[in-house]
Amino acid sequence: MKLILLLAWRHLVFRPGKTLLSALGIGLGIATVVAVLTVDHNTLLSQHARRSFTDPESDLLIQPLERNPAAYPRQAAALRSHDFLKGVTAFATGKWTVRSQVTEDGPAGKETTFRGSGVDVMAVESSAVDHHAAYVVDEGADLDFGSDEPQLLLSRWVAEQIGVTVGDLVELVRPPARQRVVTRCVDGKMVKIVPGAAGRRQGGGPPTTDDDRALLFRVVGLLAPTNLGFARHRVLTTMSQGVKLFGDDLSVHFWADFDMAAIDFLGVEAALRNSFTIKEPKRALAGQAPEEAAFRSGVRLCGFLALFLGLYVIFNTMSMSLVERVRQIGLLRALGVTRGRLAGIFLVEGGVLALLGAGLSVLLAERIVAVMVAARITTLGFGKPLEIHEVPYGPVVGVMVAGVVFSLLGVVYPFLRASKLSVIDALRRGVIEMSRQPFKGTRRSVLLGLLALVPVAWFVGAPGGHVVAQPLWEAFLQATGIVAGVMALLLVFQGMLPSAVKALLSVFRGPTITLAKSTVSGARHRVFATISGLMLVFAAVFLVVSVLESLKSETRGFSAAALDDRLFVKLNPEAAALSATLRGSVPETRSLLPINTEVFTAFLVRSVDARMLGVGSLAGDKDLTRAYRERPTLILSTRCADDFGYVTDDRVTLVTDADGPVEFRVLAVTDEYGFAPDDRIFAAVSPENMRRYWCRESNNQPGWYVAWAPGLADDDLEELAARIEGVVGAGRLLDLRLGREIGSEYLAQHDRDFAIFYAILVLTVMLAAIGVLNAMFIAVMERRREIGLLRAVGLTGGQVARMLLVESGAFGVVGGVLGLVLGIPLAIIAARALTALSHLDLVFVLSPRALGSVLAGAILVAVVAVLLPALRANHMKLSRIMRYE
Amino acid sequence: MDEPILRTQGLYKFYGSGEGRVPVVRDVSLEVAAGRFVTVMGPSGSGKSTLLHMVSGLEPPSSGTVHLGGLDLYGLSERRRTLLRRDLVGFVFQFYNLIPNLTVDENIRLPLMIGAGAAPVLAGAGVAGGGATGGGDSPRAPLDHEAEVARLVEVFQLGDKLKSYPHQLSGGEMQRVSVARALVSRPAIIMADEPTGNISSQAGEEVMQLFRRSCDEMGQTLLLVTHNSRDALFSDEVHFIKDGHLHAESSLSGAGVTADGVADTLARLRI
Repeated sequence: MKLILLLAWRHLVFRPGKTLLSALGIGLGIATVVAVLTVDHNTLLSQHARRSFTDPESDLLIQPLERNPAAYPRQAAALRSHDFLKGVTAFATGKWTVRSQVTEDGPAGKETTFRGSGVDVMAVESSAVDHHAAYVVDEGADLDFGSDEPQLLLSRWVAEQIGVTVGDLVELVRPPARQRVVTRCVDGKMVKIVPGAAGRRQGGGPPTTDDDRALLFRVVGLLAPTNLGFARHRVLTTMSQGVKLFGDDLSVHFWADFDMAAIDFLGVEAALRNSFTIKEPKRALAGQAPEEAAFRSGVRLCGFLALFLGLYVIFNTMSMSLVERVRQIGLLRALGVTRGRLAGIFLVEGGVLALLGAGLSVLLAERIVAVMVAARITTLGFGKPLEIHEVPYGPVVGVMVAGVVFSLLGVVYPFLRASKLSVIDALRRGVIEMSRQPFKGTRRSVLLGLLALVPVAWFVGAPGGHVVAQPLWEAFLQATGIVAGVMALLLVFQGMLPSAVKALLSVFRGPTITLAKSTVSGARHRVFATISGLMLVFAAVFLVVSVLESLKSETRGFSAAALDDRLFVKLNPEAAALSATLRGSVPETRSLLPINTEVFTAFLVRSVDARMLGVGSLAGDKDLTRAYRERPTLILSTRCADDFGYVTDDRVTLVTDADGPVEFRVLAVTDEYGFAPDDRIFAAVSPENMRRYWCRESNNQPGWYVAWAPGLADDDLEELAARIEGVVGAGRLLDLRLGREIGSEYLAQHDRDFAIFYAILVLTVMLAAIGVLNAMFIAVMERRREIGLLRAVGLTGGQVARMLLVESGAFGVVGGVLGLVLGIPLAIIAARALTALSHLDLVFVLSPRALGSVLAGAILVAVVAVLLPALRANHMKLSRIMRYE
Repeated sequence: MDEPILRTQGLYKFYGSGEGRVPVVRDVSLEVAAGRFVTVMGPSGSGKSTLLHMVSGLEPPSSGTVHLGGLDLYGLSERRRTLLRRDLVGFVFQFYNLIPNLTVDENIRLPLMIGAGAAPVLAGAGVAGGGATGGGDSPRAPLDHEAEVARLVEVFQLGDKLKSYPHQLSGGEMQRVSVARALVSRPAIIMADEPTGNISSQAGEEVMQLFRRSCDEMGQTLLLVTHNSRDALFSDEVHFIKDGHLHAESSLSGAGVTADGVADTLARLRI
């Protein structure tokens, strides 16, 4: 053991630079993924922290389309029959008055009535706490859901207001009829309706008489001021009591979670849409919306890609480090060191390096996370809230273990090769040649294993029919197959890479070129490891840049349809009242129309004037325009149609204020009408329908307006703003933007959102640089005698350095070109997968920017990484080189 | 003649295959008695190093047998052959083969560290000589490692170089370290491949005298391959190899090992 430890330790400390670089490579690879996982976890936590403080922790808020108190058990059973829904919990709310009752021990006859606008009585099922942590009991006991006794939980504020505490009796009193009058939308008009006066509509007539009784409840506990208890007026009871309490006014909603591994939000929506509508999904689904999920998946995949690439580089570095130790291994074997002890040396070395790397990764990850937090780079894009609440220790430890294990594999492989080494060859030649038979030995196993991974993974791990996982899974397998195929080609035709480098060098002349060419032929392993590492890293660079370009291309398409030649004007209420005047006074706003009236169903529904249909692809279609105005119809934005799976002529059920669920026909799918900054998922309905079904007026409302203003330039905006303010009054114009400007902001936002990918890529490129650096250091070590000889016969240090630079530069060119060859199919696959995942219409774009950045980046990394080894070679002491053994 | 520690029978070694097959060693049968200093002389490319590698268990022959310490070397598993080398053989190479990141002291002690705590696994090997692990059936008491290291350091005049690394040494110093390493565990047989090829004649003579003393004083066996006739003069027997063939009829031994005898034989064999 002493020998093992001594040799391992000495090898590590003898070249501290190399040891540190190797450990840094391992650490950087692990740290990248750890940082991404931590930021992703905390991005979601930060989102959830924002939303869950006053709400129950549920993914979905579901409203039945049928408003019938008697249907509640059937609706609950229908929801619970879906396997993908978890913790389906019914609840109902109502405004009541609460007053204290004389308790058995209290002063006789004294009553305290809670005065105010009433309390929010909420009836819940037991799973509200069990599954959704909907409330916390601060004092006393929870509701007994199995008991028939009427029980209540009060917020502390309510209890203090009416002077009751746990154990007291209180009365819930239905508000007097004059307080219970509700305003509802009926046939486009808001009317007041008195509960109990079924079917009777009153347009402001006198309220009905108070006919209500008081119901007695026992206060069993007080609510903590969080989640449902956060509302000061909150009173909770059991659902069974709620049914009795609310009677005909019972309006049940449901909370539920869904199994995100089995289905996505859109799948849930599609499965439920016939009987239910999902309300406020944006609030409930932080990070789960399709585009967000796709983005997060992309970020995490990119992080793992970085780890894989990092480990590949480390693997090759460790493998190559064998070259400089071949003679030493031969000597130890000659002196009687068995393979087992040799393995011990390698394992101890690898273990120390891996653990050192893992330790470094903790420090590096902490720094990377700190930088990302400071730069507000989240896994949901740029500028989202991000606070680090906790570290996801499970996945983090998993990644660290995987990193350490893979690093050890990088040690085991050289050992396998070393153990098969002929002692004499090792002693005589001091090098290991890459086998000329690629389908022999360990390499065969690795190669076949990699190729077999695709079909095996397909049959063993293919997820069954899940809408989210399937495209990702397919993309992963296709990408693995392509990478494996390219690697196999390079292994089978081993001469290809050195030949390509030599062919490239043949363009130049001179002794350094000749020397570089000669050394390339004799170092297949190093050439393969260096170029394949560069290829993989820069294929990833190309992939990310291409996806970004595809996304930008899609945004440009959207801009052309929805933004170009449009002027967006945001008015305050006073200015909105003058919108008609504005149209007549400022020529650029002659076509100004409101896009400010919205209702939220499963998606955003916006009122868009039919006059807007006078331009664009629907212009001139009088039948369509008439249908749009007169019948329940809508126009969907492309993102909305793609996300929810609607096409033209489909029927979409929307929950209206006037008539409950109503079927709207999809007239068209286009982004041309009704976009307002910033939501691209929307439906346009006519102002007539908005009024008819939701009783909302569009005209003279504050908010966004849009005008057709071709030819308007950025420089005109200031002067235009002054003229508009001249009409509506100073300070009443809230915003004035050209559509083109909004499009540019979107593109800039993509750049900012992709900051996280670039951050990961920078780390990955650094890993590649470390790999090249190590390889070239080894090259210098390996050739020190040759370099010494060349220096002895008159080659200058500068020429030696130039020889290394030329060689490495050629590696960069070949690695970059191969990165493109590999990156193009990968980018096409990624664009297809993202289209399926995010419903963005992404098309692969071969952008000059991607091509340029890959080629220039690969060459730059290769050249920069060789500077240090070149400097070392330049300063080698001749006497030392020639004697050194 | 004593019981041979090394015996080869009909050894052949070919490189390449098919029509390109080249014989490097041809039908070599040789016996080396325990405690003897035996030299195999021949020009470059004569197959002497290959022969040394085959008899030391580093390179299997194409055909023929090697018995080392009474054991059929290539009848053993690769692991047992490795352990046999550990227990019985000390190596001196032409290019020193020191471990660059170990100090002189550590390089000398390397065989002791390799054998430390390990029981001799080849107790059946009938050999004379020492052995770091007490290998063989040496009649002597177990070796005092520290005393042996100190003795060798003094003999090789390496006292002020113990903390140095190989790249800080001259060629002669490196070879002295290499020889000290080969002797430190008192192996039964020392196999030396051109040990004086890269050092000065004076240093070479010192090395050969040390080998001679090892045989005379420690009872160790020495198998030397060289093309240097001066080195051969230190040995008990000299065998001549040319084109892979050992000319047994021309071997010299005892009083016959003289400068003239060696020169005459070389001339006669046109080596």
